[in-house]
Amino acid sequence: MDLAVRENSQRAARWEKGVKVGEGTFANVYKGIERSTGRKVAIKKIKAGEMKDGLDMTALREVKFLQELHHPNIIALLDVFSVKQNINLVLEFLDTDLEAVIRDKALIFQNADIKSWIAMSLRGLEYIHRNGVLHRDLKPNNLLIASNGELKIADFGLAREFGDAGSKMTCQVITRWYRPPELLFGSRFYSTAVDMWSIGTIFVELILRVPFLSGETDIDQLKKTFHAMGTPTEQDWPGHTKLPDYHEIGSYPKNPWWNMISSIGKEGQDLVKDMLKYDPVARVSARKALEHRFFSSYPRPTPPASLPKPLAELRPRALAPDETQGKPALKSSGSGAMKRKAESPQPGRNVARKLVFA
Amino acid sequence: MAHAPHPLATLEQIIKTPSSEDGIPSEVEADLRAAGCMLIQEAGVMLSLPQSTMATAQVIFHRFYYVSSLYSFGVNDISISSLFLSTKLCETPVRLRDLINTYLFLLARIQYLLNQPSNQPFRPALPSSNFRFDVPSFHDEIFWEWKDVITANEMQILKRLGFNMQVDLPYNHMINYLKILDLVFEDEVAQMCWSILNDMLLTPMYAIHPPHTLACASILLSTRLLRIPLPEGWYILFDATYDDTWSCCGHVMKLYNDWGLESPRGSVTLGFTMNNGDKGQNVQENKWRRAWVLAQSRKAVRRWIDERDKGQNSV
Repeated sequence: MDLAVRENSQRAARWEKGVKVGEGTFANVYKGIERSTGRKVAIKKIKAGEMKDGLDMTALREVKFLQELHHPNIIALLDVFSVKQNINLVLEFLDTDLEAVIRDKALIFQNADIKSWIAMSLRGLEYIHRNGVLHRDLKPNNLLIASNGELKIADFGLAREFGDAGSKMTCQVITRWYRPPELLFGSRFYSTAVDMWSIGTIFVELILRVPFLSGETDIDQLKKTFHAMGTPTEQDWPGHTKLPDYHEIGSYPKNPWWNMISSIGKEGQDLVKDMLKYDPVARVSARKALEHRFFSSYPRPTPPASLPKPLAELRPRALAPDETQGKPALKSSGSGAMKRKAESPQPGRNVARKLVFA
Repeated sequence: MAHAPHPLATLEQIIKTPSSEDGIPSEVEADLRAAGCMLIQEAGVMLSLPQSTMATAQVIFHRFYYVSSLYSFGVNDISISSLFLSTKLCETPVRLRDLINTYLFLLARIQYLLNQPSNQPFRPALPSSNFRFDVPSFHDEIFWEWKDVITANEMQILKRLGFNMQVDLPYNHMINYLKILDLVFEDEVAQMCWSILNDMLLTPMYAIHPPHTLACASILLSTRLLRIPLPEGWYILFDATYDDTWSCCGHVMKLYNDWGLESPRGSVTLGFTMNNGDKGQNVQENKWRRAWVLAQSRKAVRRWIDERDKGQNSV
């Protein structure tokens, strides 16, 4: 047994795996404890059977980004080890997630509570963006809540770096209900604004207690979006009709839709409007959002420890439809490159079928 | 888990590499590292991958052989697997089938060269020669064999590197430094630095020195070759030391010399730009032959060690 193998098994021995607490397409999550301290952890085991072409890209992304990002509002990766062909990520244990909190009708949210959750999300997101990373899968389900009430952003399986401004990225990211219209229109060049849209929809969801824009298909999602906030004009969003997958989606009138969230107050409505701007360029950044009057005005955000929490223990629960069907198919620049069955060579990347030098 | 953003080999790992512990001479190890990296580079060019993907793969490849021995892991296997891993890390996915076909083509070309009589100079696989390559059919066994090799070795690489895959490349540092030194619009400088950094990937420097040192080394070497004077101690500005930068340059020059490569204009190609020298050429060609044979598998390395130990080291 050489050094590298020994080190791996030493690391594996530090953690004890307990009962299963969740199941996803690519991973199972188990409760665990650190043997030396008794500290609770979560062990995310990436399923080996699902591996088509070697290790799954989502697992690689998750490890890569969590190793780099350290922030109180981002889930901490404590260790990585492998058993046979499986990868196990040891993550800090978090009691529940924002989705469970929203769904628990026994809980009543004060405006100060909502302010606190949004502030923590934005702090984490600002840090992520500052480090040149896009999360690309923000939803209440991925905003986990620690036992002390701290909110932590999790699941970096779709994250990627955006340092290179000219690089084409896939638009098949972010769970549909939280996906911004530019992605639904097939934009391949996007930036931090996509995550801000997600935060905006989560913000509204916290106020309404139901998902704000719950489209059943991508087209339906656009319809619902425009139905709620009016069809964008060239003035609202310059150039959107030129996007690759642009379709005419009826023309819905612009109503003062923000009246339905009037309970959050003038500043809150204002911030939501900034986050849900159709034009990604005009959409507020995480940094600017944190400087918004909403956070400095009364009432002050609730301290994390006093935030409402569901009493029920975290247990395996049904996943959103998007998740059970698998994550959105990933097709970065090479489009379809991850699919083994696509036999025909792709345009622009011709590898000769036959090379004859005779 | 406090990780350095860009892990480097420790002094102990550099002095006593796992391969040297298994009785592989450092010269052979260096040759095999270069051979493996050339494969990565060539395959990457054929698949039109960006340089950052190929560079990441080569850095991972070098790091791997600071924690594992050539006696246990074959060069070709690790090189294709690290390239596959890096296409995922760099978000530039390729189809596994394309990658395998590319490698099969490159390996077939190497075999073609190896089959030529060793007392004659290489005749490259030009269209006029009788080199021929058929892409395996869709259901060919060979595809599944390679796929298994790649998936298994991909996991080995991750496991042995402790899942540490952060690679910080020196290219952007180099451009920034050139701007500060006001050399960015100087003819040839940036291009030559770029080429030197690419060629340096064949040496283990990327696993030994931090990116800013490598960037300084490329600038130092190219300005020397182009006879452009720089102020004394300029590298101090970029936190590099005299010894480290010169050591990198030395490794690159040794690479050019050992492998008979031309001065750094454009990138390295598999040995077809050899000096038309006298007997030096023969020595270099034997070096190529040995590296290519040993790169094939760990079995080849083991056989070579056995034969050498029996005193008939003639490969």
